[in-house]
Amino acid sequence: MRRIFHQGLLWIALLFPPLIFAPAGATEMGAKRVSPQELAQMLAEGKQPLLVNNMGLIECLDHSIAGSICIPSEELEKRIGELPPDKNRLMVFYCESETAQKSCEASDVAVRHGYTAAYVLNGGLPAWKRAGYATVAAERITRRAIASVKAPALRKMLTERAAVLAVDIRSEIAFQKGHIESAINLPMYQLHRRWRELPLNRPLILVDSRGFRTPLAANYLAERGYNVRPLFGGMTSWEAMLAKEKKDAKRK
Amino acid sequence: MRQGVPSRIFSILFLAVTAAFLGTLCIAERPAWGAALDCLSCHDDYRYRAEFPKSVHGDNSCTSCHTGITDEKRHSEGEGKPAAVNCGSCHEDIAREYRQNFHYVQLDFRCNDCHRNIHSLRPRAKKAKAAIIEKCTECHANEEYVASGHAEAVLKGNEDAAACSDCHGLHSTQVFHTSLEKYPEEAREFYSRNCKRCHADPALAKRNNLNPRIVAYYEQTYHGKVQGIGYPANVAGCADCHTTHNILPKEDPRSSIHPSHLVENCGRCHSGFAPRFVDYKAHPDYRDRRLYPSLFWTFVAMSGLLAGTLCFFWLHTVLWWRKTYWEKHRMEKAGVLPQALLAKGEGLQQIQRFSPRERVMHVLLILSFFTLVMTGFPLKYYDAAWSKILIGFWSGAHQAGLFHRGAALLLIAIVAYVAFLSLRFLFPKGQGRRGFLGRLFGPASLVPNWKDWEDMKGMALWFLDRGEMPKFDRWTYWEKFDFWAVFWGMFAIGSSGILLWVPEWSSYLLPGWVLNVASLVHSEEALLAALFIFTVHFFNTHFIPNKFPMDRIIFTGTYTLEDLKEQRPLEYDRLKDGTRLESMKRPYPGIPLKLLGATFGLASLLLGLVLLGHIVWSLFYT
Repeated sequence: MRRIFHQGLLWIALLFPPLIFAPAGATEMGAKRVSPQELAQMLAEGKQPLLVNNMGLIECLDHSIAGSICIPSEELEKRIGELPPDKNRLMVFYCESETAQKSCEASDVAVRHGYTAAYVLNGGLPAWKRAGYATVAAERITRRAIASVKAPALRKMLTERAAVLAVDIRSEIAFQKGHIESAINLPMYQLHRRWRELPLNRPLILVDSRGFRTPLAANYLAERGYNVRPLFGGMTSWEAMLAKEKKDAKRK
Repeated sequence: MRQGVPSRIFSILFLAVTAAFLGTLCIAERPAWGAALDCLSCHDDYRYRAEFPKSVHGDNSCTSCHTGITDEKRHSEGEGKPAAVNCGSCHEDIAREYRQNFHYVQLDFRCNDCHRNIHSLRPRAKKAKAAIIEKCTECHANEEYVASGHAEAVLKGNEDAAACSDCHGLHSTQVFHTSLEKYPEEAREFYSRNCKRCHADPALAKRNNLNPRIVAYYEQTYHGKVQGIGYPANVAGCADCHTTHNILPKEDPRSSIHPSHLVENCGRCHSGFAPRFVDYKAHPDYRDRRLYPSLFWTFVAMSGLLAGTLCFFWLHTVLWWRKTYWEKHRMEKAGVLPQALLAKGEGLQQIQRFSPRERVMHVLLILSFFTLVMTGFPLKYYDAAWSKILIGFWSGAHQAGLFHRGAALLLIAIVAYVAFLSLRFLFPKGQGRRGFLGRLFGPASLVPNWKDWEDMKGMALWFLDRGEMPKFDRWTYWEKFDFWAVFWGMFAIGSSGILLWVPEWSSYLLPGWVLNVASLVHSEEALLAALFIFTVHFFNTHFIPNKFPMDRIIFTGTYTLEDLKEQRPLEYDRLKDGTRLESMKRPYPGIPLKLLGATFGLASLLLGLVLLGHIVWSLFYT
């Protein structure tokens, strides 16, 4: 009886800490959030927050909030030395998804390195723009008329024309989790360094997660003489196409 | 000479004024033309020199848009760059819209990324819609749209047909447009609204030989009503059947609504149906006798039934009310108290009319009926304001649908149980068929008989002061009607409701168009039931002047011997000599039961009247 009781206690001791600490830990990990309005107020009050754009360099130079520095979330760990030594410095991380995914990842890195006043811009740059605040362009990429490709058309191209090369510009991790067969990975945040690796003599189709980042990448590469088109809707539409086909096949 | 002085002064003055005037003119003009000329001295380009003055912005100077050059010298040395062009300083409304546009928010496209030829932009150089298609397809190659009826019409020069911007917005393109998977509800509502905007426009429909009422017909179907009440997640919007870009008339073999594609088309949402399921009409006009004869005649029959039943009973009710009210008034004036109030001793003895089982069944019937009305009618009158409130009470159309089905099951169970009891009454244990006819048409039966006909005539004469009130036995003719109305209602509403419950399975029994008929029958019969219960039944049993505001007998189950003698004299005569009357005697109902009955009963009556008000309002004002 006593032994059973003690075993029970052991189980409780083993099971409970995650239950108690996990949610609390999760809320403590993420940096605090600021709304676009709050950030604008910070700037207006002269608090001089350090603005960190966590997108790729190409995107950061094309459009950011005035005074930002560019450090992609994927590289922050390596480039942590570029953040100011003052650990209490007010910092606001931002990216371009409404869930602020990249800036959350980046702020986590900063918090881990002991920065105490790291904030994430809620809703990212899209929310900032929707609220009517301006952005600046350091090196704007000219937008050309580049026709996007839809998922079924891309598959047709890949099967019929061996020359077509799908280039996946998502991060290495996302690429490893699943990608279009025969696609190569060249993450967006490395594109400005590694674009020369791409073959000039093959038509390229750029793939990202939702089709939000490839138009700019396509324009960047087109400027450099590539024959390039973005996949409309990115992997989301590619996977939706596969899911729909699977559903239809099941029905038949 | 002396005369010459003033004339000289005048001419000098005139010259001075003219010079001053021309001078101010020149100064005023200088920033525009002067600056333009200065700009052109360096930025010398055919576009700026020849095309810009002819363009839509040609009246502006360079610096109207390219602001912020403070120092010409620094600028000419390549130092002081002009500020970014802010088109929104003039085009305020467009700028406000564009700030929420996906192309700006996510892709950072600026005005001149689409309006690339801004310096040579001519007003209406082409048909606007064709120009829009040309512009959008530069990036969004869309073979499906180009092959569609809309595109064909636009390219033929029809400015009514939908170009990209008519559905996606010109400067207000939203983010959910590209990912239907992620925002299905918002997208469906948004796009359906845009389809309706043109297809419900009578002038546009007339110009293009379309049916302007097609949207209204869709809104009368289940799909349209659920969409209309504001919970569009689970029903088909326009694009679910007609697809998004390759919209074609149904005669075209490539069209999603071509007969050969209908099984596949409906199969995108529905599964497990027989092929004839697709005979369902997505937007029929039930007033069209030629195209939809079955629907038309169902509508005529149901309307006739509704009007006939209500006219008869409403007249019956009004006459009855007149008679009792006048009678009561006469007695009050003469100081005569009703017999029931004078009851003493034996007359106060409580006699059971409804057994506990019957009372419980009636309470369940009330609960089921109100649930059905409160979940079904918001859908019937989806565009009434109160419908949205009611559907919100059930937290959405889906949840309301579940309650509707639950209440329907309860009602079916009650009716089945009553049918069982009726059979047991007609064929009691040990007696079998012996005496069947006697029981069928006997005084305790609910089957109408010759006496009911006589009673009805008698009542009519009594209403008109032409005779005495007929003497009733256990069941009056209007009570029998109430009883049979539930059975008829169960046949009409119940069978149509069961067909509509799982429409895919129904298609194995009946073709799809029967579902259209079933919806119509279900809806019209529901209206009849609700109006009948909330007016005729309420009056006959509760609001009649000598029972107002309610008769609690259905909850407490008993009335006095005096009431029995007065209201059911023939039943009393039958019972008084036998031993049965003894067995029907009950103690006076307790306070808790009376209070509970009164609360539940009055609340039900009140709720019924409120719902009646809403229904009548919708009948006349929507």
